Amino acid sequence: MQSLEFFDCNCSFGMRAIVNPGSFYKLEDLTDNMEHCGIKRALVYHSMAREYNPMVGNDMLMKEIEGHPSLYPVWVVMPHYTDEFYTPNELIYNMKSQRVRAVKMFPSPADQNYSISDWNCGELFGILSDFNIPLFIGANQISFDEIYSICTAHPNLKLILTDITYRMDRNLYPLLKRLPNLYIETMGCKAHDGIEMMCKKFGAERLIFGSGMPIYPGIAATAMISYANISDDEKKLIAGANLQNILKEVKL
Amino acid sequence: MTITCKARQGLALDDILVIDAHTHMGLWHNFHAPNNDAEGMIRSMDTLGIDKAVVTAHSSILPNYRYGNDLVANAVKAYPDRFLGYVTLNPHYPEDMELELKNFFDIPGFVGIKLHPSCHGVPIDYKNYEVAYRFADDTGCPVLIHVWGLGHVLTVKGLLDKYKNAKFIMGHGGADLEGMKLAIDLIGDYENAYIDTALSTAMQGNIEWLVENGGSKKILFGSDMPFYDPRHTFGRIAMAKISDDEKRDIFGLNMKKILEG
Repeated sequence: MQSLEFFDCNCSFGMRAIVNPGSFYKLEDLTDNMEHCGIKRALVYHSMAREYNPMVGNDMLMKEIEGHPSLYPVWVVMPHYTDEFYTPNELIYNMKSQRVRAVKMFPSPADQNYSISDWNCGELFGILSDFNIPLFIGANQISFDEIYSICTAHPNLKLILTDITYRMDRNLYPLLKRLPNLYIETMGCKAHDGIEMMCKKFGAERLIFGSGMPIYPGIAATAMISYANISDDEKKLIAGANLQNILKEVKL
Repeated sequence: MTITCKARQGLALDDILVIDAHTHMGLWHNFHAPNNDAEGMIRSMDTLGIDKAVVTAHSSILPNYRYGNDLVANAVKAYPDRFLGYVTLNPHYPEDMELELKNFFDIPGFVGIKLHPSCHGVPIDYKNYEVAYRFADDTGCPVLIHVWGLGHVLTVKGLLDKYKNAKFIMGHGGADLEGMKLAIDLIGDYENAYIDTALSTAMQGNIEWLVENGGSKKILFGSDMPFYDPRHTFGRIAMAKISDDEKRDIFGLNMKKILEG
């Protein structure tokens, strides 16, 4: 088959506290590496929005990706009660005016350190559901029980679980079976034949390509799809069509 | 067509030698590892163009090396063109070690020794391992050791000094950054030191960094299949920003040289 054209749901740029040798942080290095990997478009967030402050990082993101039509902004969001972040209505207003169509959260104690229970985030999840805005959240940020609670309490919220590991199938399979609004990013689908197994059991529509760059190698993530023993149509869905469809449904 | 171009299209690298120097086989207690038998592994190998895999069974690095070594022996006998075997030893059964080595090295296709000090809860230089290291030193066979972190790599340095004829493969390349830095030094300093590429979560640019600092001659393709899928490690090498000659070294020529003695 021809090389796939990837649409990446999970990459970032910007200075970070730790930059491993061989990695990068500059925007131009991200776009160079995207080209090397065959990634044509990407949803990107700014590392400052994760490692420093969502408001500051999201603002930097918008300024720095201006003039890069292949890069689509993802804002890092958090609850508003401490006045550190937009209220849900302000968030929607600003996302609409700045054409932002996806959000990420980093609630773990090591990151932005807040509860993701409904008493804290329910209002936010509610408004994301109302506008069909997809939420990307890492498997290292949230428990399996929390995923179940969020997806059952907010059945119209599309939750894309990123950064899974090959050790999670025994919990992910029952969640995928019970939660039609749960999607899996493929970068960590590293159980042996994991992509094939998930396609067969739950359908290729539940898998969204992500690279994890610049923390993880984009070439590893693309090889997982290019070499998967699934049909070409399934590969195209995973590589980009599923993400495209999710973003088309955003009502902003 | 370059190796990168083929990999971008998902084409098997069937025109170069690919030997996977670090694989497993069988079930794993802690998580789901589908298609973990010889046939399941061969399907993955064919998809990528892996000619041969050198195998240690999951059972051997945990409760039962007899069950595991037998599993590998059956695969090596059934598919002699596709599988080679590591004899895996558990130092908590010292009375068996010499006999296990003799019995399995008598089987054509067994080419090396695998030790997993972390799973067996002992240090790499544990006294009961001496039987294995002496055997490897006498025969010149490779010893694949699970090497995880700086402390492990430092211990391997002692083995490299003591057993100069044995070929030591540091599994996972030392694993973390500090471990890898020292492992790179060791593969430069010691003729009998090697690293493999098996990592479930390798960092961006890791292969390029290893080759830039350690060259391509002492790095071996290892995937850990079916502990996890081989495709991401394969992709890290196949599409790395290094030359095709360097990729050929890593994918197969280096391990071929080790196996040829």
